[in-house]
Amino acid sequence: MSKVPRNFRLLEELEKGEKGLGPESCSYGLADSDDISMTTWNGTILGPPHSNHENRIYSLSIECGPQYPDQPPSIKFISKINLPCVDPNTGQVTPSTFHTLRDWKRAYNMETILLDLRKEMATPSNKKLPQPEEGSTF
Amino acid sequence: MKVDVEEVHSVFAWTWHIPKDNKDGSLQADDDDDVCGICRASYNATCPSCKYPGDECSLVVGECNHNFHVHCIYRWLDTTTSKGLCPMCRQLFQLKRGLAINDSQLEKFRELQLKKRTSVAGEFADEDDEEAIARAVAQQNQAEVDDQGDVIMDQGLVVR
Amino acid sequence: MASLPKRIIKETERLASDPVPGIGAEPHEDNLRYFAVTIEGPKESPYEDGIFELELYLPDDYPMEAPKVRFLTRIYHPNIDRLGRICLDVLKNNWSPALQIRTVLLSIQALLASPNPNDPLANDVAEDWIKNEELAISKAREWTTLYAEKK
Repeated sequence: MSKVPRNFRLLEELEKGEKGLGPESCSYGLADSDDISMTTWNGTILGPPHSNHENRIYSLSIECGPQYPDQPPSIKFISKINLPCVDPNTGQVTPSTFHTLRDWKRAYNMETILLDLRKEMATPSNKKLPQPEEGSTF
Repeated sequence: MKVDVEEVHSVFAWTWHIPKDNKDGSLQADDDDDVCGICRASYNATCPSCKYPGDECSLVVGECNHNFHVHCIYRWLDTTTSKGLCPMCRQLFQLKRGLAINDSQLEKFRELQLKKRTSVAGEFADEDDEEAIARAVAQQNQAEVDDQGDVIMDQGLVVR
Repeated sequence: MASLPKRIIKETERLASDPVPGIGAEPHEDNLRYFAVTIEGPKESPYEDGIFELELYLPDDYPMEAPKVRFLTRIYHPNIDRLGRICLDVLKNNWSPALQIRTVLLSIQALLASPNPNDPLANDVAEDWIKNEELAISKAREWTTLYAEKK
């Protein structure tokens, strides 16, 4: 398999996001449809059931740098959330405490990250963590 | 003078004989463009998936007089984009009848056509057209009966 | 990485030794399937004063699958969207493995010479084009000066 270059990889992800081919529990799209560099993206995660996140919709901001997908994107919650891998002051997902970013592989994509974050919200130790008021932002 | 022959290395060369219709009805080897229009390797070399040229990686001649490595054209016709058309002239690609070079491949290409037809029928079935599938299956059964005389399988055919 | 198919090597060599006038295509050193492309705007088109940058990638299935091509320079054209994606039949349904990198790039150059607002990708641009062609052409000229490299 050859290496799909960054921009064509992002175009594939964009198309998948636009056509809604991914799972229903998360979505993502370009923050600015004029951004020819396709750097900044918006993401959403639907809180997993049977947890304190149930029925909540979390917004995130994803930044795919020039080294993506060789390097993971930087990802930040906009909606306030209490989760061990998220910086409580800035909303930044910290790579050292979130395995998907720490052990990043080129085959991973934005959907992988959003789905794994959703799994993180549903782990036995995280699902009952007290959460900030719904709708508040970092 | 006495000569001792210690060893003999035999060397031979071969090329595909590609018949081509001329306007005056005579046959002549194809001379204008002797590379496969798909992989751009010589007719006498192999397609990109094969190591050894010859019968394992043979050449086929289309009804439209365009020639390709059998593996190249098969892979193309197996894509949905191809719509069964020749890459060069966009006419429906059919193997030319009555050529020794094509004979061993006729079966394989007939199967491919049927497969395509069945998958098209399958798409129709999504729109509740069960008749289309029934028709395709009937055609397939018919073809199987027709073909029982001359089943030549090419095990070496590489399909991705 | 798997070795590069002969056909790609041949095409690359020929693009360098026998380049198409007004078109440049060079593979990136670290990915020989990924090309940096430049296309000069065709004469007597609103793009004539500019040189446009594009990127081209040959997917694993090439030549059974069309190359992927995108404009990196912003361009005002009814068949090219804001992200530089191109609406061109030979890149999609009308691809044929008999086509090559050079023929694809020539088709794109031809698309610059004759925009087709009836088969649009950039909907708003196509609308402008149909409503007031003269105005659209002057805007295309303006964008060429703004974003494309000067010839």
